Amino acid sequence: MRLALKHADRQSNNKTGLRIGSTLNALATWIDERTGFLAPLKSFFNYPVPKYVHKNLLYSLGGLTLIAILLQVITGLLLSFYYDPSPTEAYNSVDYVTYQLALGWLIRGLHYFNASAIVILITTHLLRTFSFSAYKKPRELTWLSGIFLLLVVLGFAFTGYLLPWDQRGYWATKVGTEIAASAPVIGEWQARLVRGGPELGQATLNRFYITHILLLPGALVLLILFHIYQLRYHGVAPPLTKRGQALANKFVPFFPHWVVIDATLGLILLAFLAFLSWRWPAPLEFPADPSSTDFVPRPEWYFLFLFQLLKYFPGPWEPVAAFLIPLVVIGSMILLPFIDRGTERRPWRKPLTTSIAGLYLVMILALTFLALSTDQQPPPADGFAAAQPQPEAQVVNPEPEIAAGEDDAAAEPEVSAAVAPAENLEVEPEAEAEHEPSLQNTTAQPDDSGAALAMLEVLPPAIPAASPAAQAPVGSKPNTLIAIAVSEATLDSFADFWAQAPRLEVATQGAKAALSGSDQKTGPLVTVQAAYDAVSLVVRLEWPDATASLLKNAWIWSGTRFTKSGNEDQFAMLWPIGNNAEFATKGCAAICHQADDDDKWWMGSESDSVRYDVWQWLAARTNPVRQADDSWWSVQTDPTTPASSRHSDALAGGGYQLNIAEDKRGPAVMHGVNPATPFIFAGEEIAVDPTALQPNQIVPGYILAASVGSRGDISARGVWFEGKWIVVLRRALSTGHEDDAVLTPGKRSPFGLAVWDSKNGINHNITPEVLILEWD
Amino acid sequence: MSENYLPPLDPHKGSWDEESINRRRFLEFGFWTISGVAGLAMGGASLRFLVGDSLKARPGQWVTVGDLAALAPGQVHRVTYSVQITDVWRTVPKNGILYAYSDDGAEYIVLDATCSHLGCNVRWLEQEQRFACPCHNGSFTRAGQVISGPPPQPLSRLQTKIENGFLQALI
Repeated sequence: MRLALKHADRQSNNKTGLRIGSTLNALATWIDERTGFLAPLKSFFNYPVPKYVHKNLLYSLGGLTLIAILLQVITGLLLSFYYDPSPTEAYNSVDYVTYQLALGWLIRGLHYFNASAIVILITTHLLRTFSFSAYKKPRELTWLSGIFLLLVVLGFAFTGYLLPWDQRGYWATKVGTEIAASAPVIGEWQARLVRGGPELGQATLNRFYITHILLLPGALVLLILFHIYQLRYHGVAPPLTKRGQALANKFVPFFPHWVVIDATLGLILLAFLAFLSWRWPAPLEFPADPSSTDFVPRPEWYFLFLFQLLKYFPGPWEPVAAFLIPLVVIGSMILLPFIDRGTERRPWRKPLTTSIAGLYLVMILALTFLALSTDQQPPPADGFAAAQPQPEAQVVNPEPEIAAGEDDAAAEPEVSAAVAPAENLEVEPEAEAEHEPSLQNTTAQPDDSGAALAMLEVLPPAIPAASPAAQAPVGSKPNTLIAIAVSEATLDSFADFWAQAPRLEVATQGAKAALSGSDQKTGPLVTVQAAYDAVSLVVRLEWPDATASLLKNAWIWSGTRFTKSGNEDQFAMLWPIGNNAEFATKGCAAICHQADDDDKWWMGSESDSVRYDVWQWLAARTNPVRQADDSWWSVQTDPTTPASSRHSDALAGGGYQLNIAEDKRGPAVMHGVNPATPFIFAGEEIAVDPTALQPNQIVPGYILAASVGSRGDISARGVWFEGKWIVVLRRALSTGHEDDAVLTPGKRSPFGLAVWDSKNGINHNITPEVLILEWD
Repeated sequence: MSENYLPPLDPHKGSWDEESINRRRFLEFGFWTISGVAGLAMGGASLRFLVGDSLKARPGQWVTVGDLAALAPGQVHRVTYSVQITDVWRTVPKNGILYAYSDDGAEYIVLDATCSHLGCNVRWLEQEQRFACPCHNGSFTRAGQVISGPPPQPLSRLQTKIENGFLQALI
C-alpha cells in the first residue's frame, strides 16, 4: 500500500515537473518569438572554451573580477539607499549604516573589503595576461580596455574614499587634489575643477558621489561589455606550453563547465569578504575636521606606492613623481602591444619587456612596503608600566581638608534636586559592600589655624591583598582605552576581569595650563580601564590623592555660630552626544572656552546642536548613594553666566539638596540620630538644633538621595585608601535618554576626563589629549 | 548526448570533450546550488538591510494640546504641534495638526487631522459643523465619524490626559 502511494507520489511529482518544464519552455518560446533572445543566449552559454583554459585557474581571474565587480555594484546600490551626500550628514548616514542598521556592518564591510579585492584581482588578471603575452595582435584592444578598466577601478577607489566624509577620506582627498594642483600650468585649474571650488566641500562631495555612482559605473559597463565581446570575438590566446597545446583542440561549453568554477570561486570570495567584515569591521574614522592638525593623512594601501614616491621628489620635482612617472608607467602599459609586436609570446624569451614589467612590479611593491614600514607607530613608552602598589587591608586616617571658597563653578552641574522620601531610595547607603570602606562618625578637631577640620576614618575592611587591576597590561595604543568584553560588567573595582583590561595612563595638568600654557601645574596620573557586557560599560579609575576630601559646603559649629567650609574630590568623564568632528580632534580645547576674566571661563559648545554628556562623580554628594551625577553641556543660555551651558539631566526624583537655612547662616537640618554622622540621607534629617552640637561639630552640607530618572543613569562606587581614589562608574551603553551619549561596541568614541583634588582649594586638572574608547 | 545539447564544432577547430560533457548534469547542479547559496545569502542580507528600521514602531509621544482655560467647550480648536522625532539617523521636528473639542470642559476629543482615506489634512468647516478633506471630499462629524465620501474609517482619535491644567494627547 505504502509502495503504491510512493509510486503514485512519484508519478504525480514527475507530472508536476513536466508541467513546470513544459510551461517554462512555452514561456521561453513565446519570449524568443518576440525578441529573438534565445539563440544569442544559447550561443553565449554554449561558447566552446578550450580545455587548457578550463584546466588552468589563472584563466578564472577575469571571471572572478567580474563577479567581484557585480558584488560591488549590489552592495553599492544597497548603501546608496541610506547614504546622504552632504558634508553635514554624510558621516552620520555612514555611521548609521555601520553601527545601527541591521546588517549594515556586513554590507558596508563587503563593499569596503571588496574594493581592495577588485584591485588585487584586476592586477593579477593583468599580470596573467601580460605573462601569457595575450596583449599581442589581434588582442591589442582587449588589453587596452583592460588597462582602462584598471584606471576606472582606481577612480572608483579614489572617489569612494571621500564619501564617508571622515578624517581619512577628507584628508586623503585633500592631499590627492593638492597633488593635482601641483601639475605645471593647469594644476590649480584642474584641482578647482575636481573640487568644484577652492575648498573641499559640498561641491566636491557631489562631484565625487555622482562620479562614483553614475559616471564611473557607466564607463565600467561599457568597458566590460567591450572587453567580453573582444574576448569572445578573438577567443582566448593560444597556449604557451606543450601541455596546453595538447589540450587546445578539445573544448568544453562555457556553461556550466567554466561558469561553475567562477561561481565556486565567487562564493569563496563572498565568504572570505564576509569573514573579514565580521572580524575586522570596515573602519570609520572620526568626522572630517578641516581645522584638525594632528591627523596624519594616508591613502588606501593600493595608492601607498605613489604616496611614498612623492617623498623622494620634494619641491619643484614633485610633478615628476605625481605625473611624469605615473604617465610613463601607464603610457608604457597602453603602448605595450604596439611596441612589443614580435611573435614570441613566452616571457622567458622576451627579457626586455619581462624585465621592465618586473621592475615596475618590484618598485611598486618596494615603495608600498617602505610606506607601510615607515608608518609604523613608535612603541609606547613603558614608563607607565611600573607595578601599582599593592593595596593592603589596613586602617588609614585621611584628613579631609576643608577648603575655603564657595563652590566649584567650573565643575558643578545645576542643582535642582528634590529630596525623595527615604523609602524611595534605590540604594541603601548603610549596606556596606565587601570592598567598600565604611565612613565612621566625624569628630571635629581644631587645626593649627584654629579652624575646624573633620577627621573621617576610612576603613577598607575587605580589600583584597592584591588588586587584579595591578596585574593588567598597559595598553599599547596611545590615548586609547580598550574596553574588554566580559560576561557581566559589575560595579566592582576588584573584579577579576580588571586583570585583563589594558590600563590607560592619562597624565593630567591644571585646566588652565593645559589650554593656555600660562600655568604648568601638573595633575595626578589617572589610570583608566574599561569593560563592557551586552548592556553596560564599566570604567575603573584610579588616581593618587593624599587626602580624601568629603565635605562639600559643610557647616562647622563654633559653639556660637556656623561657618561654611569644605569641598570634595571629584572626577568627570565627558562624551560627545552624537558625532562631533571638533571634539574628536581637539578634545578639551573644543569645549573649554577661555576668557580674559577668569570668572568668565566656561565649558560647553557654541552651537545648540553640539552637546556633551558629562558623568561627574562627586565624593560627598553622589558617592555615598553610589551614583555619579549625569549632566549635559551645550551653549550658554546666558552669556553673562558661565555655568549656563551646563544642565543636569532630567530628574524624576531624589538627588542631593543643599542643606542651608533660609537665612543662609547655617544648615537647615542635621542628622536625626547622631549629629556627628558624616552624611545625611533623605529621611534621616531633623531640624537643626545647635544645643545638640558640640563645638567644632560638622553638619553635612547636603541631604543625599539617589537620583531617579536620566540624572541617575550612572552607578558609581568610590573607595579611598592608601593615598589614592579608586572609582568605578557604570552606565548602560544606551540609556534611551536624549541627554545621554550612546556608546556602541565597535564604534570608537572620543572622550575627555577631568579630576579635581580639593586639597587647599579646588585643583581642576584635565587632559588636553583626545582619549578614544575602543572595544576589543 | 552532446549532439542533442551542443551544436557541432568546426572539425578544423577541434571537438567537444566528451568526457567532460558527460559531467554536465552534475556541474549544472553544482552551479545552481552554488548560485542558490550565494543568491540566498546575499538576497536575504540585502532584504534585511533594505527593510532596516522601516517596520519598527515609533514610540508614542505626549504633546501639549493647550491650556484648558483656552480650550473653550463647544468649539473645535485647531492646534499645530511640533515634536522631535528620530528620522532614520537624524533628530528632526515633526509638525502636525490636531483638533480638540469638548462638550463640557471635562472630557475632550482630540482628533488627528490626517484623513483616514489617503492622508491629506482635513479642515474644520465651522458653518457646516463638519471636517472636510480637500483631496477627495471626505467628510467627518465633529467626533471624527465619517459622514460621506471615500474615507473607510473615522479620523484617528488620540488618547488624552490632563496635567497641571494642560490637555495633552498621545501622538
